[in-house]
Amino acid sequence: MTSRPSPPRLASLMTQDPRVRRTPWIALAWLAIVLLGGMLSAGAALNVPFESLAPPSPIHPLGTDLLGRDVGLRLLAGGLRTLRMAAAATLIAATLGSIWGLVAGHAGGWLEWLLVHANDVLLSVPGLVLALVVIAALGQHEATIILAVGLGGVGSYARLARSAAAETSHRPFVMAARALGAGEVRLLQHHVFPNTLEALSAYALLHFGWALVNSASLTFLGLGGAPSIPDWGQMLNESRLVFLSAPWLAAAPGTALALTVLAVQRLGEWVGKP
Amino acid sequence: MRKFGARLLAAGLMLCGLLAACAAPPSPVSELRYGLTLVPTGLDPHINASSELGIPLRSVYDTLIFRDAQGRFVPGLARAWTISTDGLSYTFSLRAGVSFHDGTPFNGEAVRINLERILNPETKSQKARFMLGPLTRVEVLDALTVRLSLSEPFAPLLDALSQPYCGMASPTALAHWGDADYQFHQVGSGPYRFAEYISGDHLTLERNSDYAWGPSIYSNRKAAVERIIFRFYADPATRAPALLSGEADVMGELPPQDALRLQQDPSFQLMPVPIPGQPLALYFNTQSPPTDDLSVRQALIASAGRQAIIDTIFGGLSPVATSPLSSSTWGFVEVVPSAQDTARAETLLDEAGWQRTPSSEWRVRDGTALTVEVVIPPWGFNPQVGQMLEQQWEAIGIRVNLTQVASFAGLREAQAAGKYNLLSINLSGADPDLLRPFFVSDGSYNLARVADAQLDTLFGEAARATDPAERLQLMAEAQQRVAALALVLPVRDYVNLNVARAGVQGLSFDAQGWFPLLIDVSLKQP
Amino acid sequence: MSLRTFLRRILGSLATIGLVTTLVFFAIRLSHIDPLAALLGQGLASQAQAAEMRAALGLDRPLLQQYALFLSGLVRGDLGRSLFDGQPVARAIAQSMRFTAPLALSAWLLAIALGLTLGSLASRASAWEAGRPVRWLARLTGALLVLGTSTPVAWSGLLILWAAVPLLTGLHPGPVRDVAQLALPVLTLGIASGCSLGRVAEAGLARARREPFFIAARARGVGPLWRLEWSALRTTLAPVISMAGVEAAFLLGGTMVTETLFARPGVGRLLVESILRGDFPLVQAIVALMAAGYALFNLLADVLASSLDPRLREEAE
Repeated sequence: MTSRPSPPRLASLMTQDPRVRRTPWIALAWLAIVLLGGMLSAGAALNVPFESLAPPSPIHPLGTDLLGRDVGLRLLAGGLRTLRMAAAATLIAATLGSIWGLVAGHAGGWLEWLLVHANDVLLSVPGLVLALVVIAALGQHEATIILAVGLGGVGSYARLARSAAAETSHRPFVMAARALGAGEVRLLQHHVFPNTLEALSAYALLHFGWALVNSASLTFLGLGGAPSIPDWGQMLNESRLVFLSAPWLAAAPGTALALTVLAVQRLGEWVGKP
Repeated sequence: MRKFGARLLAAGLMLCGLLAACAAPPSPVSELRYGLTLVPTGLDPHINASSELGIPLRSVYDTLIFRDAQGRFVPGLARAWTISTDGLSYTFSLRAGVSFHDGTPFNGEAVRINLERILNPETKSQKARFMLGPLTRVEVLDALTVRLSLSEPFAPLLDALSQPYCGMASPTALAHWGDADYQFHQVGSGPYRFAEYISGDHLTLERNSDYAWGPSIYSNRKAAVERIIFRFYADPATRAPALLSGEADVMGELPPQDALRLQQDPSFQLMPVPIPGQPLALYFNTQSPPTDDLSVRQALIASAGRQAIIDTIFGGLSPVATSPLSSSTWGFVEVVPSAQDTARAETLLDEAGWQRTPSSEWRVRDGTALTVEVVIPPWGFNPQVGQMLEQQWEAIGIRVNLTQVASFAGLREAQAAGKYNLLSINLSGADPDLLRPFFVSDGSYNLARVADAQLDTLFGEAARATDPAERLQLMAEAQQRVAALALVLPVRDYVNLNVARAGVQGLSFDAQGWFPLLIDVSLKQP
Repeated sequence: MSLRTFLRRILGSLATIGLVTTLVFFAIRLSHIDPLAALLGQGLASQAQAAEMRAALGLDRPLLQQYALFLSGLVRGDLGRSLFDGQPVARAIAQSMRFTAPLALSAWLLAIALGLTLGSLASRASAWEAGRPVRWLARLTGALLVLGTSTPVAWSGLLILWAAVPLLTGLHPGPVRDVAQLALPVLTLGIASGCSLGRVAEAGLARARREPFFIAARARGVGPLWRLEWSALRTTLAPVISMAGVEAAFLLGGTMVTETLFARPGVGRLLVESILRGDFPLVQAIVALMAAGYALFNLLADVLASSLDPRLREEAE
């Protein structure tokens, strides 16, 4: 799957496209379905067995898996878990990356040099590989995957935050505040941060798509640790064992994942439009 | 400096082409491509332990004796053998005129060097050393006679000597390469010579045209196929595509659903082979609550719908396991009835004080919910089996926490930590002695954490009994004792689902189930 | 790019890779997995044997001492041996590189070619001078690009794998077959990566079409159509190729999934397996190698971009 970095440049180029200005109703509706469906299916009995590998039918619109469980239900429940992992990972990346980048961009001097070079080290390892190292160190759990994907995204986030902060810090109103005796922490908190917030949150949505695919990649590679809790990456992996007999099993999580990434990307472009 | 950039680019492209060219092997005529399923940690038969390594190496090495399909011992490199009445000394007369692939002659000295290599602690043998048990001394009586001396009687010795782990290697090659590198340059005396091994990628065997000392279990005197290339397909989902796309001619361990599909295709043949040894089984931790309670263990066994698991996951292609030994193992007796009995399970739990309450989904005793921790590895359909057991147990009010570890290392780690109620590990082998480390109190695989004097005695005596009838009796009692203590939930007898292209003829497997007799294979060109 | 800048970049990358290796060395030793369990697991080795092996591998020494040992090995060009199968790390990596290098490089080149072609086609969606069929085709391509960027390679690879099975059945073993087998993962990665490059190219080209130079050139009627197109493409070529350097991270990560899907014993799969087995020497070497590979791709992209766009050349110097 992708470990696509979605760098700021991609975002800025794409927002030139007039198509992105329309409100993305379809994308919003899809995300609402995934979220609400996931919440509604939370109480449902995911493990109740029916006929094994039944093709799609009115009772089981997406068929059943090898163990006879309803794929539609698992898809909904799995979607929520997939979204939750990606959201938590994005939060980690955004928080750590923003602090890192803002401090670097605002501070300048040796601190900036240090932070920028430390960030280069982080960026020199592809995100998914970095995530695997974190999992190797901390073991296989949902929490580790979140942390792993989150840390894998810190680098690109910090880079964006630094350039935004560096630009803001040299603007007259910040200099004026400093001249008036505001402390550096206060400056960051009240002047620099609010002015970079827009760029950072637009990027968070782009990054969310990346986190979605990467956390699903890790569960796809069998690093999720809990086989009975459904998740799209894991469902895709399970479906490969019976692809010859039941190709629809792979189609459901594969398509759902693609659509969700698409919807999130679309939303990110819309939020980031000029 | 534009030119510099252009040159750099050109160099990069050339490198790319070169690497692509390297990855393309040449294609010969009479070639069999055999898919292996697990990448072994190492391939030295005397040192390493994987059952996968015997698939190619069975045909690289000859052993002193062989085992036929009925489990009887037949002459191999040893023409004949005698066992002293006290069971402490074995004398082998060796075949003359045998030479290794490098020309070194086979003789008594070679036997001594091989067996002493295995016994030497420096070699760090992980399996062969343990298979030889109390073997202490190897004497060369004359050029073609050797005597093996034991410190106590040991029934599994003949089986050990018939396995590729105790195959006879060329003393010249052993001395030349040393323990670390011999695995990449193996030299035996079998129908195929070891040509090349690239760890994790492929292993190539080439026909030994000088072979003239095959045991009676081989139908062909000389191998028909000139070259055999083994490749690894560790991920089960990649096996059927490899067969269908013509990448492999033979493959073991097909996922059952794929095996059933391919069986319907006239261009393939399905060959299910029962594997002796342990079934897929989960061992109860008798030290950790709630499975420290015999009735909880019995209830878990009674409520497991093993036939449903076989039908759903294994496509009905394997028998339900009914003992800690699989039914194709010598010494097997049925001790765990296969029928599911949820009513009995509910009664057992009620009596043990685990009551259903209206307020909770789960059975409760003294305010705690009945919860079992199940630890499983990712292979062999363990995750699916675990999830079906979870379904079945949840239906009678038992909460299940299923944890999947990534590797054998993870299983051993869980075993050491002891934080499990059920753990799944299984080994294969034709001799029932392989159960001993699982059930004796100081056994290295004592997953049940059991210390039972009766089990210790039974397994100890069975290993020393050289009379087969007495041994059978002791093994039967041992299995019954294991079932009475409810130490294990046997699920499925292992059946290796081999699929071969229709053009592959004469493929059969030895007494261990895993190892093909490659000398008998021929190819009919489509 | 001048030789001096080039050398400075290489030195910088080496320093970074050194730091990465150190970080990974310490991070991975936090792991709770006992590396020897895998080695001993398949057999019935005793605890005494395990302790002996641990001592032989230096795993019982303090962490800093292990690090010093590792560094001194590194200086001698000795990366150690795999804990899993005992073969030298350098050999294990060299063997798996034979599978990954052609895959990653071909997929990268395919991605650039595909990105430029599809991007240029899609950018004509709003070009009013183009005919209706062209605009529809452009719109379709645009939609495909969006779909391609959001489809995970685990899913597209599975589709490509099963679509190709009947096509491969008739092929006999040999060079043609090997190329065909390489083509499947290359297509999987190349298409995914090409689509995201295509979107960058599309956006750049659409902008170029609105620029005065382009409108003027079109009004003047600059020769054949391809010259007009080329004048627009030139302005976007450099950013697309720089972006391709960043995309290499995706390709290297993607090899883990594609090599698993297509059963290729490459570096990506070796990394996943080594992590699962706790094979530390291999993990740290492969991560360093991936960092080096990533740096190499970026360097290659910058060399390419600066030879295409004179402005970038001056910037770098």
